Amino acid sequence: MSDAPVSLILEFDGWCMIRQPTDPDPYDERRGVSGYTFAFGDEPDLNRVIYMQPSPDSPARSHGPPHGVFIRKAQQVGKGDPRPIPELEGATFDLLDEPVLENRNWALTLPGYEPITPFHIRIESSSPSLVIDRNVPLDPDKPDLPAWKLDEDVLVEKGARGLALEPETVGRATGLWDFLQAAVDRRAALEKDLKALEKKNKKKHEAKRAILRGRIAELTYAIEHPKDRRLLVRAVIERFGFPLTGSAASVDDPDGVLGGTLATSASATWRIDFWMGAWDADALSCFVEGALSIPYTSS
Amino acid sequence: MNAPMSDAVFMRRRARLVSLLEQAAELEHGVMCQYIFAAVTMKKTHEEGGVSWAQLEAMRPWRGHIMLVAREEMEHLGLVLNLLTAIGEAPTLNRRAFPFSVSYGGLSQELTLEPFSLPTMVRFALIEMPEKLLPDSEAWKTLAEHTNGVFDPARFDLIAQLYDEVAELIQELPEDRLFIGPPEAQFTTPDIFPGAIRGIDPSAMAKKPAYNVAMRAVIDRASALEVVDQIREEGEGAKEHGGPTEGPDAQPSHFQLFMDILEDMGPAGVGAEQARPVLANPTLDGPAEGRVTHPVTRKVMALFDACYETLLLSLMRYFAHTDESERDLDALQQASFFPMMTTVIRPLAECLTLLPAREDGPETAGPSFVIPPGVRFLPHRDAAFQLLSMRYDAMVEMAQELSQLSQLGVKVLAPLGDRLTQVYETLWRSRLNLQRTAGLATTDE
Repeated sequence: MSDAPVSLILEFDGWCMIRQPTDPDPYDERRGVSGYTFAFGDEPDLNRVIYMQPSPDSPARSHGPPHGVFIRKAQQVGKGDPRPIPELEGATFDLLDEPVLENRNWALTLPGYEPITPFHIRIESSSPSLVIDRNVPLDPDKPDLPAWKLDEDVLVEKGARGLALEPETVGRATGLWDFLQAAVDRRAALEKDLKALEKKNKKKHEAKRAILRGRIAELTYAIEHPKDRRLLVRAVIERFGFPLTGSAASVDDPDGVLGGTLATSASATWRIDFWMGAWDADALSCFVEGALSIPYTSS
Repeated sequence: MNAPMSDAVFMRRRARLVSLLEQAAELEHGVMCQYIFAAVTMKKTHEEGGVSWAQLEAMRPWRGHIMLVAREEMEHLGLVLNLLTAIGEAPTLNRRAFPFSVSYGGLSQELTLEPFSLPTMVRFALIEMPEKLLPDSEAWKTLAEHTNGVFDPARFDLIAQLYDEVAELIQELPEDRLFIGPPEAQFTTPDIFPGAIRGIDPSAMAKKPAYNVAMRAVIDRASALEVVDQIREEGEGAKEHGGPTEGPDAQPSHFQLFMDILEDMGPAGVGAEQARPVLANPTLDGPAEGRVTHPVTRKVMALFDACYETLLLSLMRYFAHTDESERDLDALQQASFFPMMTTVIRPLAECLTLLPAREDGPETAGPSFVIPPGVRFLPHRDAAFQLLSMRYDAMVEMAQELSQLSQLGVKVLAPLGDRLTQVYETLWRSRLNLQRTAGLATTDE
């Protein structure tokens, strides 16, 4: 019997940025009106894109969580004991091509059941050198159809399984347990920044002051209304879990760190399970935690 | 003990109640439209010019508050329709074209579509003014100042007095003869916003407003009076002060929100210059002063008018449903609320305020909220859904043309191209959802 590895399991987590308007604003609202997320001052427009890694298109807000999703644990599993691959810890986990949570104000799915599209995974490490890349269509039978034309069944299959209030999940993963205190602390830090900025050239820093004032105003509302969505969503998560298939993957492993050949054909079925949540309406961030399972070829 | 009410008196008093509720529906509908209109005329970006970063940040919450009040006016309209349904009457969404006046008991309230400005906010505050505003209150002084010292609160009691009489009639008319409508035809918040969060008790969620909309069922006298109180307390004619109630869940009244904006406008240096130069009461075919003549803008306006008309037809069928199945109601719900209101009506309204009204001149267009005279309840289920489907076909066609024009380089549409394309995609999807849910043949398959 072969003792070749069966699967590579990559566990990942970290904070991503998502500059997303929120209901009841239209999904293409650029600045924020009626929801609880806004673009302030001279910040770029809200664009819905999920940034798993820092990007100049989505500058991080001050005093937010550290930005970036990384591989935390990698191991081969097979017949025997799992074999850790510590070299992969710290590799970046990214979704490319400007992915969005796509429900379009409930036109495609109910909130909490939306898919992420496109779903183009890229795991990358420079030392050891490694790239794992797969761009998976929502509907393998209709890879060229945009999400807004796809059957709801397909969207729901790749979509989240509803909104869930899980403060324990969030607390364990992020260390955040007291969301109200976190808001109070953030506001205090921003007020200090604003005070410092007030002493500088008024004209030059007018837009920056507007950003700080806007953030402070929204945090103040959250603190004064702790049952409001601004704080409630910090404990809310969406769970995803679906097979990845329908397109060929590419793997570049010149250092042979993977210890085998991963299945990369279009019919190869990978599996991903993760949750997104702990939404930080002020920092426009959310936490991601999950695992990707990739089979090895049997040869 | 009171003598039983005679049949003739009952019918006469009941007819009066129906007439008042129909008037209330037109009023709530009208004030909602004028609030949305003002909100979408406010400048939103520094690139529009004439607005500083500080002014933009001051205006940001104001725009949100005006839209919040507009949503609560939609809720009030829905509650009035629930009241009509509860007493066995047909819901109504009829409304005259802007500008028009609503009269009651010698009082008159003019409703007009005008851009955001100080006079507009004064007018909004007066509409929402409490029944008994205290003469020494700050609000009184502010309003007196902005009305050149000729402030007469008694002139603005219309809404409060109208709902006072509604409440009196509900108290007076025999409950068993008045509330004859089917309880299952009532709509509550979860019917309109069916989202849920695991880990939160659904029954607790059902009692909470969604996006400030708290729809409640009317099944008897007590629930009817609660609904009338809710409407009054939230804004129109709250009896005493109109200020915020206590506690972390409290929301300021409409009057308080408008007064806060009014008081902050001067210090923030914000006035009509910080609004887009939108025509008052713009229409495609109305009086010359409001008529939009730019040929491209007229196409966008025609799409807006078609979508608004379709929305009203869907809402009428939704509130007056007779033989609809649960799936039918789902289809109508989707065609009416999310995404139609948020992702079609509002974006198109905003687009219009950025488009030229005429070939020359600085004015821009805006949403007309015109209701054609032929818009009425569609009584036959199958024909109603087929007609709605055909209307979607036409709207998809119009939106697709605009999306294509924007991509072909039509100058005035270029900055709005993404938005118009997204309106097209939403209409395309909404048509598919309506057709599938209602069991109709789908257009594009």
